[in-house]
Amino acid sequence: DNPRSNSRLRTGCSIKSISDLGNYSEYFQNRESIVPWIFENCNHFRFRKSTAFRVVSIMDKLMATLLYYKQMSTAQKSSIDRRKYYTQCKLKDIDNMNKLEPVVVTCTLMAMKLEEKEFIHLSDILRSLHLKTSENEIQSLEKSILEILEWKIASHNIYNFWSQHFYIYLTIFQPKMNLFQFEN
Amino acid sequence: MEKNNPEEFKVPFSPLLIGRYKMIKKIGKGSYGSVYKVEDIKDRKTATTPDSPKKYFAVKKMKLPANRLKIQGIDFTTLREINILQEIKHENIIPLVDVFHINRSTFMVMELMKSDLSKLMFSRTITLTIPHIKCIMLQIFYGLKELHKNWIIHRDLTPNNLLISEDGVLKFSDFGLSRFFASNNRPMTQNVVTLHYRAPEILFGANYYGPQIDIFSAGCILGGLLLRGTLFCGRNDIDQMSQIFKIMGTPSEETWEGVTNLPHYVEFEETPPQSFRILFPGIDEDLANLLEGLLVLDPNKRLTVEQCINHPFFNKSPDSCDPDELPMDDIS
Repeated sequence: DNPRSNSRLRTGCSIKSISDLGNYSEYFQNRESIVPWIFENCNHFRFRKSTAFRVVSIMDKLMATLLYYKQMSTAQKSSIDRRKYYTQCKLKDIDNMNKLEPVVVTCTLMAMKLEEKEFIHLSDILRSLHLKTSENEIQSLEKSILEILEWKIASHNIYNFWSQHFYIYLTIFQPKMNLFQFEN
Repeated sequence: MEKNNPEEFKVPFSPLLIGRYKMIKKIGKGSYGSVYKVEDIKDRKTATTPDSPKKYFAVKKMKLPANRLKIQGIDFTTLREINILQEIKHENIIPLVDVFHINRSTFMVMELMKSDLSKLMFSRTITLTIPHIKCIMLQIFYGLKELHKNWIIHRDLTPNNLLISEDGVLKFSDFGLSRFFASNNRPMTQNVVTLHYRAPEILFGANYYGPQIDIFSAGCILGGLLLRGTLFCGRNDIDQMSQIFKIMGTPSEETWEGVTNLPHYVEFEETPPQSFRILFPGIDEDLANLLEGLLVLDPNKRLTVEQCINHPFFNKSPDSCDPDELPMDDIS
């Protein structure tokens, strides 16, 4: 049970390995199996529950933002400012990766840095999950994710939910709603 | 915009930082990195009148230790600082305007401030009166109240990290060591707080501590404002403890329950506590009482931030001055 060993996860959920996570566009459809996997994964590394909550929080926010950008029309894309356009360019990084695996690992790395007192080396996380992505790719993805989230990585709580995460609520519960009507 | 080639947006776009902030000069340096004064070019372009004033900001370039950079990506202190500053919006907390990343450095854009409390505190040419001290301390307590209300401990409250704006408003900065403390059973590191402002429970190696450590630092700042210097300036942990105990008395199980069980507890020669009215002759009884309440050794007996704000010292004459009445003009 050494978290740094190359052992399989003690998983009881439907996702048996990181390669089962699928494409990021299916995140919200598969969320109910991905979240328990994230918790087991964090438990495997002996992370605190708050770290797992933080991973889920960052993932939810990121996926909602990605869907938000994806459903933009060309006209809407052209109306966004230079900084957001830069963010848009960064989205290609995620599009190219296509899979959730490196994204989950990157969110875990960020959550670990925010919540844990002692850190596990990134290479150990990658090795333990049998993931072939390089450390450099994860580090570059970390920057992209932070840019996409506009560096807003604060987790949800009852006080900031409505002010900061309103669009996530809309994306999860009202996916067909036109978000631009709220932005304008 | 669509016609533009995405390659064009690779950073750095131009000599300007992310095409927006023009570097003016370096204004500070610390363990965290460097601080630059910048002009917001975009704001100038979008200004309605050509005569509108230029907008300046401070950009904090976070330094990354080489080994950490390669191992774990963006530094954890930077991430935590951004996380906290994104969450807290208060008059006495420095606002975070923007964040961006260029090559391997993270830049945080913040409001440009005139000075910090240490310049005011250690200046030999500035006279600080009781209304000035009340104004400074109340602003510290309001900032702390906001942090503690949001379950955040600053963990590095020093005069250097308390910035003062042109109009005398004091703002907390440098949240690199800050963290949330909602859970009591979560051990925390003892490598926090600048030695001269460190609470005795941290010096004794406590793994579990709370917002009381910020109150102790506030007490050291109040003592420093009266002394116009550093109240406890030890050379190392042991010397720091002996300096604290010389004034506050040596702790024992009677005065501080559980002190002997702390990991780095060492027995000191027994010294009785001294009165602050002897240390600072002529100070008000309420002020001495407040100082004593802030610097109590047992964290459970230390004043809370609410008790500090409602302390009789702040309710009696002379009243606190307005922030813009602080002697800011005399700071070089």
